[in-house]
Amino acid sequence: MLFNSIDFALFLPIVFVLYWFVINKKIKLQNLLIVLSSYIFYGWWDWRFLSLIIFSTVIDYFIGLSLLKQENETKRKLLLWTSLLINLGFLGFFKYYNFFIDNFITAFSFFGTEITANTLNIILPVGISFYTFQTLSYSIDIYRRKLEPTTDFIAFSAFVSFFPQLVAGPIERATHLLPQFYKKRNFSYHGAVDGMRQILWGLFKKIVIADNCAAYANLIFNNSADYSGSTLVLGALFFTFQIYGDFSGYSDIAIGTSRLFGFDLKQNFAFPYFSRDIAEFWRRWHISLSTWFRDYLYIPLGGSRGGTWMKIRNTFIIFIVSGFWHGANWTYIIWGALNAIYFLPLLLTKSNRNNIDVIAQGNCFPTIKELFLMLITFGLTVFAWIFFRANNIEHALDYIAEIVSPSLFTIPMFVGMFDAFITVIFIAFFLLIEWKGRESKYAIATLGVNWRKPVQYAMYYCLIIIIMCYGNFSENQFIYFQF
Amino acid sequence: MKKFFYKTIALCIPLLILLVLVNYFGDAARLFGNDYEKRIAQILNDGHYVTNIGNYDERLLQKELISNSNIKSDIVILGSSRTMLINAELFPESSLYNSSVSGATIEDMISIYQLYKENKKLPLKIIIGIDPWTFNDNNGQNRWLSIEEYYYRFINSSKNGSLFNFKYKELFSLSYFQSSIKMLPNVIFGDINPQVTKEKHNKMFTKLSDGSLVYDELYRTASIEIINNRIASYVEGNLYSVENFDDFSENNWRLFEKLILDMQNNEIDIEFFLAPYAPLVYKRINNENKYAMVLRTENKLRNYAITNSLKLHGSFNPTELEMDERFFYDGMHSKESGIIKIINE
Repeated sequence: MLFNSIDFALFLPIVFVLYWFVINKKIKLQNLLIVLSSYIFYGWWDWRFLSLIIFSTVIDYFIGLSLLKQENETKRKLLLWTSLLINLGFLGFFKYYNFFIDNFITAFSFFGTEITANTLNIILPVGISFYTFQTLSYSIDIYRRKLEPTTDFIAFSAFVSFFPQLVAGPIERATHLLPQFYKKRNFSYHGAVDGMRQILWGLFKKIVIADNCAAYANLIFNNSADYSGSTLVLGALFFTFQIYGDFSGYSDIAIGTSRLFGFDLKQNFAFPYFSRDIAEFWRRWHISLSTWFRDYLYIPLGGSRGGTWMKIRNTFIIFIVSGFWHGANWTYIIWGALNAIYFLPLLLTKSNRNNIDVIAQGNCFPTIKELFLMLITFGLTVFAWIFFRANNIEHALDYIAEIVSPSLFTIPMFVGMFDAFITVIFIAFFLLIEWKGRESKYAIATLGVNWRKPVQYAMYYCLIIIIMCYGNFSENQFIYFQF
Repeated sequence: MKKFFYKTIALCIPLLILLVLVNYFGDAARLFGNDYEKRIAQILNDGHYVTNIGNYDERLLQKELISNSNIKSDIVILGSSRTMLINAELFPESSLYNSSVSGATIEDMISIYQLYKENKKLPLKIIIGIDPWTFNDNNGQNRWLSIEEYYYRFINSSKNGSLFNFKYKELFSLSYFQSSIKMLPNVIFGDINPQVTKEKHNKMFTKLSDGSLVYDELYRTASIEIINNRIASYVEGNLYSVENFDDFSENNWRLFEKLILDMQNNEIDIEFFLAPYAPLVYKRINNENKYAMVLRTENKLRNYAITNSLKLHGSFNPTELEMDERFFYDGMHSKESGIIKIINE
């Protein structure tokens, strides 16, 4: 079920009414409702893959309990590896099997040996990368004795399958989300209103910004050989806003929806395009994934301790794995490696934590230096997105080659330029609101909260009418569902 | 909790009302104003041309025209917008009626044929314009649902159809809202009232009394550069109704054969008409594997026509017909000169 679909618009109020009006006194029943509605939400795509979630839930629940009882370190390690192998095994099979087969065949034929192996017609289960990482963190945290395993199977199932964040995150940690399923949820009027505001802003980002940008980004990227360098730059910019609007929009809707049910999810995006360096960008982009890799991969590898080569190795590993997490394609790996190259100079000169605070905090405008740094970082990010969006490495290189050709200095031309101009106006409006709200958890968190009610409602209606009139309602999937 | 719930509902109700009202009164595809088609049909049945019309339900218009006309034609054209320009002047010896509807599917052709049959107005000859998407299950066309009862009667199905769902679902559709809101000023100021005309060539497109269409001035008089741009932009995007043409629809083929058999049983002479694509578009179809079924459709139809001794005009391939860009209005619609060339070949 898509957040931007009529199905979800009917599903959400039904679950909300049942949750708060029918079974609001019993936590266990509320959790059971969450589990059932999450399975319906997921099964709407393909009910067959529900079995994967259920299997993963059962395995990690029992491994968690066994880890508690087991004192023998070897056996504990064995239990952890069982969890890792099963979860990563599913992920590897569904997501990476064909990639590895193809690359093995290519590698062997390069050395003169012809091997035959069949690729499979595998459907990638939606959100598998997200819920796999969520359950993995549960097992690892119990193994590290940072978390007590739960004995409440329903609460654990609700934690694994919680529908607002099941298919595209934020990737929650058991230490943060699971305890919320044990506590009685009290309805907070202000929390729910805030949740609705965040949903509204998320829908604006997704339907008006991302889906409209997607139309032009797809047009330009899919026919890149026919366009001038200047048009290709526009294509890359459209994709830059598409991916941000799409994914952060999803996160906003997920967080807002959770608040309607009395749950608090972690912030996943903190205005990353206003970053002053790449280190800051990665502290603000897909925060739940970056911190996951930091805690479960980077730090165990030694982090930024040790010698220079170890730092370089660890940085490349974390960024390349992060790229590979997005998909079984060399373009994602290059995208990850490119970000590692951007990040390394900051790490090696120990300036990766120079920009911890919010840009131009307390001020209306950034300083010239801040503006310059922000534009440089943005430019580097846009460049890296070309690899992320391209169909393959060759496509990305051709795309870049055309950008750096003399055609960069021609007037951009593509079909539907006028409509694209309207989208550009919305991007400008969007950036303005995001800039204004950059010190909050989401852009309109504090916008107009002190205004008189009629003015506040006028603002909501304006946003909704913009979505109705200028949104793209072809039910475009969220990009991150494929990851 | 209740306060929040009621306030949210109170916030949503005006928006829902706005959505329904704009969709009902703006009514971009004329789903809720059947009177509009009746008015157009009245003008055409009186033997006049009609212009200043827009976004009407072409299927409902056919229903009105066939049910209420007194004329029985010798030749009827069934097909899509790609056959809509075939007019009576091409067949001076006979009377012709063009019953083409945009994006016609096999269900459309069956429904319109059934309309003729039920009204006892079957012609002597039917020219069927066949498009590749006729055999694509994923063609995305559902406009035939407006006259679905005729389709179900032809296939002897007891199903009455789901017109309610199809039509009234649109009241709550946001994409329909976006089209309807643009139409609203025209509806309010009465700018889309059908106008009787004696001229074939008008500023807006014109429906002639033989059911054929004459494009609007801007489209009709475009320079070759503009046409080339149209073709180029068409090639860049999705090809109309033949994306996701993964398999040749055996079910649609069976329906097609049933339709032909029924026509033959009613002693109707049958001819096929394949409208060509513009050269650049056909080149893409020929080069990209995902359009392989388009080529297969033509092969299959050619073999079928030979086996059953049926005449087949045209081809999807413009090179076969020696037609370059000058014979096209855009990527998929031939000019009248192109149609004359195909019919007279």
